[in-house]
Amino acid sequence: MDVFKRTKKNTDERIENIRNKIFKEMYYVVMTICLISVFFKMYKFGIGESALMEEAILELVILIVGGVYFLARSIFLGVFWDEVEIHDRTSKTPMSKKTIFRSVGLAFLIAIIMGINSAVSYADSTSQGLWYFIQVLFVSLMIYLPILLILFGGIYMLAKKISMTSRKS
Amino acid sequence: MKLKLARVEKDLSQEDLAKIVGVSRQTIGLIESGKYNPSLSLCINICIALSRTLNDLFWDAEIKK
Repeated sequence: MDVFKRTKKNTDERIENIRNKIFKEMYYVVMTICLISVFFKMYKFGIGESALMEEAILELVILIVGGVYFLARSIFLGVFWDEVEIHDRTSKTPMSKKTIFRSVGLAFLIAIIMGINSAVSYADSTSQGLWYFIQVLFVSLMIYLPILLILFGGIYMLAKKISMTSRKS
Repeated sequence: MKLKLARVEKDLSQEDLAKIVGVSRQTIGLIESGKYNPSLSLCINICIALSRTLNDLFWDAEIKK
């Protein structure tokens, strides 16, 4: 019965640290491969096509679920807020402002991509293309800006709340 | 250097010390050559194994402020 007995493993901390470093690098490699695959499929099928979603669903799930898992674990372990604390100590711009800037920047980026895609795909002339670009840019901004502000701002506030709660307890 | 001297005084090889402390021989070698910074718990385990204090083995008098 000694075969099934669990013995405590002695682990060398240096080896553990190196293994963790390798796992981290492996994560970046996998994410890069998924990202390249998504961009390639975007190029092949076009943005906004349903075929893209069907073909790239696995890569998108890996990217999104991996990112969400990392974010959730770092929030609930308090690491996210500790990083914010260190960042605010050394940076002129606090993380709260940077979160807003990033949300606005990302919303603009998405809106510009959508605008260019619409102008290139559907316009018959340059002036029509410009008009389509402006329309889609404006509408996309109206949709994505509040969503991204609520999403990133919400994550920031949630992390703060969890951190404050854990400090009190 | 202090670590190596203390180990030799106790008549222990790197492998012997590694076995006592629970790390690999290479880790002991890297600590002795100053190429790896051990955690506090590993430092304490090494001190216990060599019957020395942290000051004896790990304090660097030449640390520049």
